[in-house]
Amino acid sequence: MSMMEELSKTIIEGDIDGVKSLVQKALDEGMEPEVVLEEGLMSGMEVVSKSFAADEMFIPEVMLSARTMHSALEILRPLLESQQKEVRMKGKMVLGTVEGDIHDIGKSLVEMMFTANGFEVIDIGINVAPGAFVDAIEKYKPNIVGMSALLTSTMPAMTQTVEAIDGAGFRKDGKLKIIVGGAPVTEEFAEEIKADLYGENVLEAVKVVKNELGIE
Amino acid sequence: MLIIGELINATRKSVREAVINHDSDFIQDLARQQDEAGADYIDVNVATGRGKAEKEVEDMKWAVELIKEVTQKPLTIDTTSIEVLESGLKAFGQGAMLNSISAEEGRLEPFLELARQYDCSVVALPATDKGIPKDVEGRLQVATEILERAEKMGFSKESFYFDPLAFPLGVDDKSGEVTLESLQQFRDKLGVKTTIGLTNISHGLPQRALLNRTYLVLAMGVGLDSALLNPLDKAVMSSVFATRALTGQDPYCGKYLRAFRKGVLVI
Repeated sequence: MSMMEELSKTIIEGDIDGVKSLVQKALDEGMEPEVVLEEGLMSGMEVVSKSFAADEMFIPEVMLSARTMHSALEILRPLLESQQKEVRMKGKMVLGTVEGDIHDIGKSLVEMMFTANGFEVIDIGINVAPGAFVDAIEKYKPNIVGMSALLTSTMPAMTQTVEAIDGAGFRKDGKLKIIVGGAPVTEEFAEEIKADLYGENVLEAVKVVKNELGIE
Repeated sequence: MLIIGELINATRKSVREAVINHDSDFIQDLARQQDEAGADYIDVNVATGRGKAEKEVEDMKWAVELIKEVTQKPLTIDTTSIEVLESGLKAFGQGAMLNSISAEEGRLEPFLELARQYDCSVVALPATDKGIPKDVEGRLQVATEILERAEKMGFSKESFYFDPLAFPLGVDDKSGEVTLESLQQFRDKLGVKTTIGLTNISHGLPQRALLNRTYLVLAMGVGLDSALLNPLDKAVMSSVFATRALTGQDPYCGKYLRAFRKGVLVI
């Protein structure tokens, strides 16, 4: 098995200890951090995503793979950044559940899958007021904002948040995209409130965001 | 053990369509079938997420009136909106169940005022504006606060069913343990009745029915008083009948034997 295949395997199997020593070994042998990430780790994550979509892997396994990816990125990110390679991270997302809504789980799954797919995700929590979304966008300058609502009674807060984001002018240059989701949220509703994207489930969400950003 | 039939819920696609198209036959069938299968209460959730908020208020009235035509069973008005709740209770009359209150802003005293007015039992969730506490202690603390605020309004413990709220096991592998322990503590330390929604626990895992059913049995083993479940699922209902008999809730095994004769029991 090649080093790249071994790296990929640690991700698929969720081998946190294994991945750290293997990434270190690859770097010690002179491999470029971005090669380790793209050809080794990310290719493992792609297998995980596909298996999850096919009901061959399940949420706890995907979580473990995502955690494994996290610990590999802890080693790689400083190296990539020092080489000005942060563009290799596929995108930056600010993510939260809208005001009045305390549902956490769907959002956590979104966080997990986007991280696993190479995005940097800033989770700003639950019950997030429109103004707090605006502040987080100001601070982190993401290219994607994800918001979740699990109740029909909190869907209006989604509308207000989109309005607040536009009120602050963040979508003027077309660089920031808003994606919405959550059990009661439909594509129709997403269009109505002028969100850019809609994900029916977590895999759909990753897919439409990647499409929008022209990744893969 | 009180069974709350969960099927009339607009987060299910078929029900959502029936509510949007006002398909009375579909909703009435679901009510009738759950009644016959042994539901003690029939849950009604008409939150389709389509149209304006007033639409849900009208839909609730529509659904409750329809369901009342085909069953004598009391209904559980399932909503987070006070307007929708009032619409449902008004249409039903006295003695329904309210699902649910919590310690979130605006979800306690105003909801309880209506519960008092319409003489409802109440499902209470240990959630605050900060979310659902991850551990048993945190949930017990919020449940205690809810109970104290309700008692201040003159309610007695008997009106309440506390639901500890199960996170999906797939996301939190301690969730089953925390939920079962919370049920026990609610019962022992607060002296209140308990309830659970059955299907959350298994989200994202294969063979969900197996997990749901086993979880139900474990929860009944620590004294569960009520569950929101699919009464048309024969395997689940068989577990209910068997566990009732095994935990001293079925004098002379009468319900178990009747279910057997009706051909309801499956292995």
